[in-house]
Amino acid sequence: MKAPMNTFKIFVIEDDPFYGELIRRHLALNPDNEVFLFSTAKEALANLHISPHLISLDYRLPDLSGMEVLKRINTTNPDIPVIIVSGQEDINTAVELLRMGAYDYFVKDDHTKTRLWNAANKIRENLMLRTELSELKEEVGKKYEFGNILKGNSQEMQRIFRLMSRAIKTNITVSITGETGTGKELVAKAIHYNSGRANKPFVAVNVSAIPNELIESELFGYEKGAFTGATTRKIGKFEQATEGTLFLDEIGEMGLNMQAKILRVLQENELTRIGGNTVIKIAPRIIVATHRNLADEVRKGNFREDLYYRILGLPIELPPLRDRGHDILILAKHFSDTFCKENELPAKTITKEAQDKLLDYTFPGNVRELRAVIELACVLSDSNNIDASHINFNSTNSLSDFLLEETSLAEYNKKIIRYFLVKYNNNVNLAAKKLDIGKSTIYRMIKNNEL
Amino acid sequence: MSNTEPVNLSKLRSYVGDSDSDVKDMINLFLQIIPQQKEKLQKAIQERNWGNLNYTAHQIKPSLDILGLSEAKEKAKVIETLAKTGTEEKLMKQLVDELSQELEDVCNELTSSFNKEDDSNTMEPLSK
Repeated sequence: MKAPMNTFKIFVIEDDPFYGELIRRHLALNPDNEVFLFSTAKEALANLHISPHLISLDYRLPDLSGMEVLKRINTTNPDIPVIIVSGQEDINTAVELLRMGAYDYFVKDDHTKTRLWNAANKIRENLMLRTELSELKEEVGKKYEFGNILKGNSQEMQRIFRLMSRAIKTNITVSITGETGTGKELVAKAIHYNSGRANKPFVAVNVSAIPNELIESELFGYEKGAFTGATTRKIGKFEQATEGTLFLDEIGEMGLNMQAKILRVLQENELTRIGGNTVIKIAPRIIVATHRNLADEVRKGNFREDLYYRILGLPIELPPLRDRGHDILILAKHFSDTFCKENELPAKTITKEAQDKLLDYTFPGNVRELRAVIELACVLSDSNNIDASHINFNSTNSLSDFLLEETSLAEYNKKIIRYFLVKYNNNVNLAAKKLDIGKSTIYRMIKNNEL
Repeated sequence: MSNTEPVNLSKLRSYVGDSDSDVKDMINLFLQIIPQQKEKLQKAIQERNWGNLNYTAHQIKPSLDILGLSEAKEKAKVIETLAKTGTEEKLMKQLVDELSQELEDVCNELTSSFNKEDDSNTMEPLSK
């Protein structure tokens, strides 16, 4: 981060003591400004450790030319804006200085003080915005620290943390798989915000949410006039993420035609906007995610094998919540504490009965579902406890509903056979074949009114 | 007192604000610096050091401009231009002499006004 913005430090380098003092006093009329006056370049250069936020530099100095001073400042402190203030009106000099990186060039005239004042205000505002942005980025980075983003002590999660630690050290493509609600995008963000690209954009694209006919323009962008409605140039997601990370969520839903185009871009590290001719070099870090088994999709012919190998990179398979044992309770406590804090409710304790109920459940919606269950429990509870009656599952998954109704194995068998008979239109042969049991078993159960 | 052009403090005030003490400080600074600059101009012309003459004439222009001494500033500008080539030595000397005299008159006027101001506690005689 830059120097703190308690005061905005300005160097005025001016060999005319009268004019220099005048500028110093003028800029100091703003109490936020701390103005330092130097009459020689060498004196100013020796004090650059003060880290000025702006330098007003007289072009003609007794010891060094303005051009030489600008060169030296650019070498050692390239971020400091330097405004050249000169009595000369030579346009070539002004152009050359601006080309060398001067922030601006003012001729000493009646408008100099206003221009300097306005420029200082503008630079100070920009600096404050940059500082704010940098602080926000730092905050986001903290938010995405592994321990903050992914709660859990299970061996499964320790394995995930180790893989993520490897992922952040290089730009290797990462492919994240896992059931819905396991936190694939959070993992992608955590990798980005802990990598060397943390200060560059994280661009997320949910492939399944964009219609096929729009995905190409969304990813590659287009030139003005490329098609009806393309009234302005649009920069695509690949370009937006070129120095950062492009997260392609649900890549398994991408059509084969688009897969071929993506493969080319990933192989060549370049693209052409729709309707454009210019080849644009790109270098985003790619993280992909899918809830599908891509290897299966390749076998079925739904996903290109060459693209599969291109994006496989470092595979991270997120475990379903039901396989994470007591992580369920750690997460439940975390969600409860967070929700209560955000809603100014007193912190709640999850009773033993409620914990058992959570541990017995299969969470088909994974962490996302757990969060919703806990937040509802916090709302339903009038006391400082969350007990079993506050834990309500509204799963749409028939298997979890099925398992929730605890019953005997014989009853489970009947339910399974009934399910298959319905599924295959009461075709006993097919149901028996699918279940790998004798069809006589089913006929017998029908005869005995067991189904 | 010669008929030198009058000092105008409005530009100076626009830089430092309405505080009379700031205006006074700046005029004091002007009174310290200008005699030195005048000496440098004279020395440069005597030594035919055109580089120093060009530099000093260039350096003095903004101060003259701030006090509304536009004729003196124009004179300094001509000296600066002539000193670049070192030609028109006679004209340069004449202009340096004239400028030196004007600067001296301005300083005298300012000093005198200051003395009056000390009695009346006002800068009015100089404000245009």
